[in-house]
Amino acid sequence: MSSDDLSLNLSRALDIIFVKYPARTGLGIILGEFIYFAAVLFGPALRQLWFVDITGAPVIGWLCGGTLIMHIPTIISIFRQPSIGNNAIDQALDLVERGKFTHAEKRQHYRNIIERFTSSAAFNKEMRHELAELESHLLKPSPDE
Amino acid sequence: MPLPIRPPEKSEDTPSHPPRRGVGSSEDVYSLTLLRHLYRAFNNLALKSLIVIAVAAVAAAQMIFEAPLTRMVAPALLVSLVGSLVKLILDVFRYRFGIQLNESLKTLVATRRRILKKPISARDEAISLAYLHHIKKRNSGQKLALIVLAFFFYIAFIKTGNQISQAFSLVNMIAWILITVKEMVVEYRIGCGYFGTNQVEAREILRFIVERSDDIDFTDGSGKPRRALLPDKSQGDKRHAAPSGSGVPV
Repeated sequence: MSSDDLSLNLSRALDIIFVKYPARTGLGIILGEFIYFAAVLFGPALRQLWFVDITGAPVIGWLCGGTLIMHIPTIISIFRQPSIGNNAIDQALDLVERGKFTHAEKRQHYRNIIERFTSSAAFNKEMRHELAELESHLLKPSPDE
Repeated sequence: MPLPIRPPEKSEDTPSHPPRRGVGSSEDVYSLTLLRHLYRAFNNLALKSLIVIAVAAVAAAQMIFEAPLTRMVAPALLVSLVGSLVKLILDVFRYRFGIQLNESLKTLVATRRRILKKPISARDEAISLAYLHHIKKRNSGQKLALIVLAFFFYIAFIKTGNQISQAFSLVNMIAWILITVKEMVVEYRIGCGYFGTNQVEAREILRFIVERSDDIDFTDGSGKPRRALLPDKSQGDKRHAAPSGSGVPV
C-alpha cells in the first residue's frame, strides 16, 4: 500500500469516527450527558417500564447516542454528496465520477478541475491577502535549496 | 500676506514609518494580532510532538510500573499545558524580534518541494496551504477547549474522586489527540501533493475556494465556455499528461 493510500485510509477512518466535524462531536457528547441526566432525573418513572432498563444503561452508551444524533447530517452526507454551491463545479465533478475513467485519469481530472477553478476564481479581499502572504513565503528560496 | 504653510520637513533620523517586522504589509494587517499568534502556537509541530511523547510516556509507565493509567495522565496533561504555554510565549517573542514567522509553514513548503521534485505554481501551492491554514484555524478553538477541559476534569477527579470526571478527562484527551492526528494526516497529504485527488477532497477544497470567491469566470475570455477537464495549452502547462478522450465543457 502506497503512502497515498495509507494516508487516505487513515484520513477516512478519522472522518468516520467523526473527527471531521469536531463541533458536532462535542455537542453530541453534551447531548449524551444531558440525556443521561434526564434518565437519572426521571428514573423512578422509567423504572416502571418492565421491558427496558433505561436507568441501567452505561454513561458511555448515552455519549455514543448523543454523538450519533448530532452526526446524522454527517452520515447522510456520506451517501449524498452535498452541493458545493456552484452548479458548474458540481456538474464537472459528477461527470468525472460517473465517467469511465481509470483511477489515474480520475486523479488527473480532479487536479485539473481544481487548477482551472482556482485560476478562474476572483477571491475576496481576505483570501487575496492571505494568498499574497503565502506566495511571498513560497517565492523565497528555502534554506536547503 | 500670509505665508503658505509648509509641511514640516522629515528628519532622516526619524523615519515616518516604524521599522517593519515581518515579511510584508499583509503580515502587518493580519498577523499582528494576538489571536493569530495564539492559534499558531497551539498548532505547531513541537506541541504535537510533546503530546505524543507525553502519551507514549504514560503508556510506557503503565506497562513498566503497572501504575494506574489515570494516575499518570495528570503529569502528561501538566507537561502538555506547560509546554504549550512556554512555546506560545517563545513564539510571540520570536515573532516580535522578526526571527520567526511560521516554522511549520516553512517546513511544509520545504518537504513538499523535496518530495514532489517538480515545479508547482506558487498560486496552487498557496491555495493548498491556505486550506490547511483554514483547517487548523477551524479546529484551534475546539482543541484548546478540549485540552483545558481535560485538565480541569482531571483536577476535579483528583479533588472529588468522581469517576465520571475521570472518564470525561480521558474522552477529552483522546478527542484532542484524534483531531491533532487528523490535522497531521491532512498536512502530510498536502505536503506530498496527494490532497485533492479524490472526489471527497476535491469537493472540500473547491467548496473552500467557492466560499472565498466573489465570482468565478467560467469562460475562456471570448465568451465561450472553458473546458475544465483539459490542460490549458495556452499557459504552456506540461506538468500533467492530457487525459484521454474529449474534455467536458462546463
